[in-house]
Amino acid sequence: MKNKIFTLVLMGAFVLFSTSSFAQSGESQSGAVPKSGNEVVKKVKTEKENEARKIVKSNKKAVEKDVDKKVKNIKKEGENAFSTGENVVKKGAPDKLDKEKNKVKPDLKEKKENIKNDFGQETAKLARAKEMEKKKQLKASLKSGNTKVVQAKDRIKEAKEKLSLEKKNMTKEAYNEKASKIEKAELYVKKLEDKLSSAGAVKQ
Amino acid sequence: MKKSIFIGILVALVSLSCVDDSKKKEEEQKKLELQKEIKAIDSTVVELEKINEDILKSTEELDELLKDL
Repeated sequence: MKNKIFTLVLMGAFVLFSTSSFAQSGESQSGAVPKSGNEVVKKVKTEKENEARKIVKSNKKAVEKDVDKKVKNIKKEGENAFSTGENVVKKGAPDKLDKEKNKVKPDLKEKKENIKNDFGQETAKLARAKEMEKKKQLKASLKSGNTKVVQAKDRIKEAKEKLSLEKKNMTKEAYNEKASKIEKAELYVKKLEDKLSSAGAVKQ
Repeated sequence: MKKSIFIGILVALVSLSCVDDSKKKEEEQKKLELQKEIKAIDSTVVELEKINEDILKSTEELDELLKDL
């Protein structure tokens, strides 16, 4: 009877444990699928990113602290050994340093593994930085393009006025040539304006 | 008694593997999400580069036209 109760309790614990673990995995999977628009996806993304960052930061800090502590301890021990005598320093300190070095090696390995388990966070960071840089470049070229459009409009206006004044003194062919050039420039300005407005929309 | 201990160990092992599985799945999910994000960013960067080049080219061409006026 006791055995049966024991197995029943164990089974119950297993069921509870497995349901909770499956629920966790289900949550993580459903988190990836967009529920109701961009906001939910963004929230989930930022939460996950923050979690991963925290983990990496805490791991790095822990390893760095550990190494610092060990180095301090070695220094202290070395200083103490110096005060007590030369032989102690010769024998004791180098051995300890070697031991600590050997201990630090696995720590570094662990650190590297943590970076590997970063799920490409560094790559994502780099990609975001590149995107920002490209956006900045586009912003600058948009600014210069807009100023160029304004300048071009003024220049075209001037050219038109000049052409209307010189019309009487010019041959018909020369006039037509100049007028077509002005028209072409006007078309280009319009094209550039369209491009700039569409690029502004993309940038945002 | 032995039987129940055996069952208990079995159950514990199964539950542990379940937890491990769910953790692995979560990690895979994170990886996939990040890869998607990186891909999206890369395509945006390419698009931005194209637009930028196009604007610069058009500005240069307009400059040339204005010189002729």
